[in-house]
Amino acid sequence: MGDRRELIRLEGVLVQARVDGETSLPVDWTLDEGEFWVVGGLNGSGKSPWLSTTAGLYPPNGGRQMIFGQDIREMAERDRAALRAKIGFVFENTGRLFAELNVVENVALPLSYQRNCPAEDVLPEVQRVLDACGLSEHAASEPNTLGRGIQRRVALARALVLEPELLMVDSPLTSQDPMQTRWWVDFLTLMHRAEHNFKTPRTIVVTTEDFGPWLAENRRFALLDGGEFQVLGDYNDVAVHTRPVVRDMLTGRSA
Amino acid sequence: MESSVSENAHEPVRRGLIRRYFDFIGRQTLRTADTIKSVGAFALITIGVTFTKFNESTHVIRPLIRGQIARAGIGMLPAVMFLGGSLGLVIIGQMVSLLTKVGAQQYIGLVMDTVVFRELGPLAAAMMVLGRVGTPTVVELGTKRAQGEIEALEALGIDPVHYLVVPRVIGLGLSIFALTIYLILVVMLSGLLFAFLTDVQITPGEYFGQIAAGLTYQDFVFVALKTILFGAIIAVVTCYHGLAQPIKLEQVPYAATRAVSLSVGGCLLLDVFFIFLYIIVGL
Repeated sequence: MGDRRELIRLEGVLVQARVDGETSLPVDWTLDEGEFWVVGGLNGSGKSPWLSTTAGLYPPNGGRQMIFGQDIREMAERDRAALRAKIGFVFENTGRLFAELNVVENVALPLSYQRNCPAEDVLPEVQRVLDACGLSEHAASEPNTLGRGIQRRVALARALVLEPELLMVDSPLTSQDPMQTRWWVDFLTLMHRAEHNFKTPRTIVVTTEDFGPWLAENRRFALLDGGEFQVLGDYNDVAVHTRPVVRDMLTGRSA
Repeated sequence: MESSVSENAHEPVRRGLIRRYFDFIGRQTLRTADTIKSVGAFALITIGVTFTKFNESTHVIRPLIRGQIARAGIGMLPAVMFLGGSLGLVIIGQMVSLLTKVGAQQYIGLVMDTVVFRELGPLAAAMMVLGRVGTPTVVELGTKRAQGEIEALEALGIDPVHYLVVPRVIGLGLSIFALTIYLILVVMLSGLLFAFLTDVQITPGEYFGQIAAGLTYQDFVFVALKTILFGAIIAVVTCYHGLAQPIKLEQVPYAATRAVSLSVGGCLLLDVFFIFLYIIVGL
């Protein structure tokens, strides 16, 4: 574990989160390359602000935040934008797709923008990612004609097309049916094992309200609860954890 | 005695109302000053991004500029033709007719240049684009902001100002310039048509000759500058109201109203500036 590259380090970072009113959530945390983190928390515990801040989308209220070895506060906006492109981020709910673009255009846009090339030139790569995400039949669809689960997968494809080094997914299982839940867990598991036939990140962070579907070896768990960020440990630590909120999140009573 | 007591009783209420009125005026003034300051900062950011990223992601940005031109320029042509025709017949035709009646035909060109070329054309085109494209821009961008699409752009390493604002500034600037030229041409032609229909004793040669004689190269430079700046003001103000501050969906219509007021004010101020410029260069 020690020889792995450090991707993110949060030292006394204060995440601006609305937990029990307006407050700052203090976080000390390190993410190494190749890790799969599952960060749990009940509704309103500050999961989304924590994930967005960790990805460098929002500035922290205080503390020191290093992303890929660089202090985010000392970087120019242009460098921050380049850094963000190395992190695949999937937003919660419908993934915040661009409403005026269809599925292919949504996925092609970041690649076309970063490489400065026509959308037609990136179509083979876009098609490969859409195939992997099981979205080929929806390629020409408008986002608002798709179900919430499919929209979230399009957002995943859009995040993966840039071949990021790190993937962060905000509550992928919320309001999903059992088939979609299984699809997400399997897809991310294969990704972590580098078993997809296209380049994917092996470092993954997901947030969840239910630890159950994510329980597996080689994963690390943390909890956001009561305005605190707490690292719980690995599968064995979580499975026997006595804290009631963790027990509820293991049995699915929190979802 | 009773009436004096009653008046005294109403005095604090009256003072309270006056005070509240001045409080309201003060708050509105401070708010407007604050908005102008913020729009100014947003305009500077937009100018910076326009120049520093001029050659970046051109395969994405240029089609967006073309889209804005199609929407604000080509899409507005029929409406501009109609407006130009109406203005020409109603205002310019009447003016030509009146000047001819009082034997002042020699001023037709000057009046056309001053009224249509310098003032009416640019302002009318800008107001049409503001109504047709500016207001929907606030709604579009405000909705994007409210639905979190701006954060999605940032998460993908796409600069929202580069992707959403720059194409609108360039597109609206070029569109208003082109529409103004069309509007001026249509107004002049319909003015001539009115003169012909009402038997005004002026030939097309004299009519266009007088107009051409009244124009200098500065007129063309100033009209180009003014219209492009009108477009930039409308684009920056509407984009600012849609993008630059956190907004909820239900606040979008109010943001659109404020954007229209500020855009009109900005365009009129710029127009006043150009009037002084015309005076300074002696036109």
